[in-house]
Amino acid sequence: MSGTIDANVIIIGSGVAGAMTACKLAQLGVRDIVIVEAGPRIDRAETVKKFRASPFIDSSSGYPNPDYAPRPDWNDAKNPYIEKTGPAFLNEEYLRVVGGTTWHWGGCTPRFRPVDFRLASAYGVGADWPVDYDTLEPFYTEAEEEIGIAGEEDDGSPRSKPYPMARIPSSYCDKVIAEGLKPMGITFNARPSARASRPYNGRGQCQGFGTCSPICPSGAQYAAIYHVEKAEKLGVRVVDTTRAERIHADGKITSVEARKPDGSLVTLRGKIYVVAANGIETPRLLLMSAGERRPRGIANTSGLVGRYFMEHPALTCRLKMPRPVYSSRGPESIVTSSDFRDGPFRRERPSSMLSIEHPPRFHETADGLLRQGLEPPKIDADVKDALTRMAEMNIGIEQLPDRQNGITLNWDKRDRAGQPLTRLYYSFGSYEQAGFAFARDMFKKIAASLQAQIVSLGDPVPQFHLMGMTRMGNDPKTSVADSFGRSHDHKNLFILSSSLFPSASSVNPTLTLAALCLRAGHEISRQLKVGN
Amino acid sequence: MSVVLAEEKTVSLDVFRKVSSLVTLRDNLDADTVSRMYKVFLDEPWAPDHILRVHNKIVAGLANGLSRKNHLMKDLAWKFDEGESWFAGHLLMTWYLGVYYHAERPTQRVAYETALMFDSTRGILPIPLVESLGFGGWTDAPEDAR
Repeated sequence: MSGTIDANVIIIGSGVAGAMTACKLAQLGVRDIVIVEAGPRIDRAETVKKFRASPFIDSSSGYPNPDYAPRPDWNDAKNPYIEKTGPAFLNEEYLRVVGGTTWHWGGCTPRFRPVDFRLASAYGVGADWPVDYDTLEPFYTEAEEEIGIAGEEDDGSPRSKPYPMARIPSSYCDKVIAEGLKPMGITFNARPSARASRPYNGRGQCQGFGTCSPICPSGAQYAAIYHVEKAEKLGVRVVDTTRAERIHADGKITSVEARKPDGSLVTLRGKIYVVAANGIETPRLLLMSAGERRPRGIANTSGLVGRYFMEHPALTCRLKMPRPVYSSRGPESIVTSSDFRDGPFRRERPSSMLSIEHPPRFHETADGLLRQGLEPPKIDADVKDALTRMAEMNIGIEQLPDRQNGITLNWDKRDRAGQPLTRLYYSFGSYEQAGFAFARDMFKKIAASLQAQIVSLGDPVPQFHLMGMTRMGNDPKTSVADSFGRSHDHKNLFILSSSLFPSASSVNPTLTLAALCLRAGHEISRQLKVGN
Repeated sequence: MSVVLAEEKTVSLDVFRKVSSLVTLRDNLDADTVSRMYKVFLDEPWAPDHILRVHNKIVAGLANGLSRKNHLMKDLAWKFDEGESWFAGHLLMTWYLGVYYHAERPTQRVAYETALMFDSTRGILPIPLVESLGFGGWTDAPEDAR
């Protein structure tokens, strides 16, 4: 069955960017807003059940992965959703459901520092943003209140208001490690997090399930589904299982084609269009919309859609501590050290974020000991010893924007929905390699200071922070969108995704994205009032 | 539950429960998990024969002075043939991880909170998705350490 949806504002994607933008617009008095989401609606309790029934130890297997809205799946290596090219390892992960990927995020929500917005000016590397910290600060504050952030200090990012909630208290493991690293001069701060330290906007207090990712069983951790539900109460229509696959333009954007699971066409028409479909699906949709008049795709006069992909590659170090520290008690990550985030060293090597992580590692630990031939009763003692003495730390680095990193489309291969496959090239330069060398050396010093053994210290892995492929800037020749996310090419198209980021900092991107969306909401509202 | 040990002629749920108990060194295996796991094992054509052979070899070993308290499989390794040795390890892995790895069919979860990998840290480390500590319950070491 085909159909047409007419609205003032069409928003593609119901994750944190789409849902928060919709709420903001509705609060500003904009009426007739429609969010279209490729994936289905899900239920928290049912999802927890699915994870318990899943044989896989990952963050996604409890979530749907239907043919009509496919997504990356680590457990289906034979049929990759994203074709990887390039020398560096990348294993991306995101969800296509109502509420988006914040269903299974870690909830870490630090602000960028002021200097992160002018990396090129300050250190001669990377790129500057077309918006500065002072401009964004009120929106950071608003985003922290909307999301519900628990935090403590300003940590180098000046604040106009305190965090809405008191910090999440440190775990026993955090305290032991912080004490052990004092001789090195390393200090730890509360990691700002989207977890309720008190009842907040309908969310209960964090209960310490320790499974922030794949899912918070209690709902104490923020997920964008809260803003989807809030938007619906404000009159926003949310149309699920409707996958946008092509944007049409005639100077301005004129319509969006979407498909239902039965293959029927839905045409979406609005005055303003917002693409908020995550850091990969957003540039992919723009590229998929290529046609005779726009062979490079929509919003792509610059040729930069799909370029400058950035991640926060991280090295993870697993330690065997000299005595039990009971790591997997409490939220997955509570403290970080910002000691390596900024300084003149950023001319040569990246900003780094050191964090203590507490993921449960039962399966890997028991599996490893079984494969060594252990059996009861020794395996029970060894599982306990390994798990209670385990400590895990992470150093994530700032990756520079590199034009060759990014996506193109492989029109000869199709995903399960019949769409051209995304091909992603990914590599590291000498700047990132200097960051990895720093991290490896730091972990060796940390292990020595803690009198701990390094159990594993692997290669860089992604943190699923997808940035850069529709970069914002003032010059249409060197950027895709302006500081509001408005396409330089199509004035009624707003791109609201972490793909806007011209540079990455070393910290989690979601709060900064939320702040950009709240700011863009005012601009969209203003633009509608003056007649678009 | 005490286990009556004698050689068996045919496989049954009770024999599967006994061999599971012998391999895991536990007399209190969850009954629902035993039933569920038995059904999954029986999907394999070789399973009835292996269940019976491993059971009977362990029983024979115990009758000949083998201790039930320590490293049963290692002590019996010389009596197991290659297939039996593999099966005993496979059974142990299924019980510990709660996951059944098929050779040809998709991997399957057969147990979650009753998986034995959680046994030695019960009350110390919460079982993911199932147990919580209450707000701030993570700030101090658990009773285990005090």
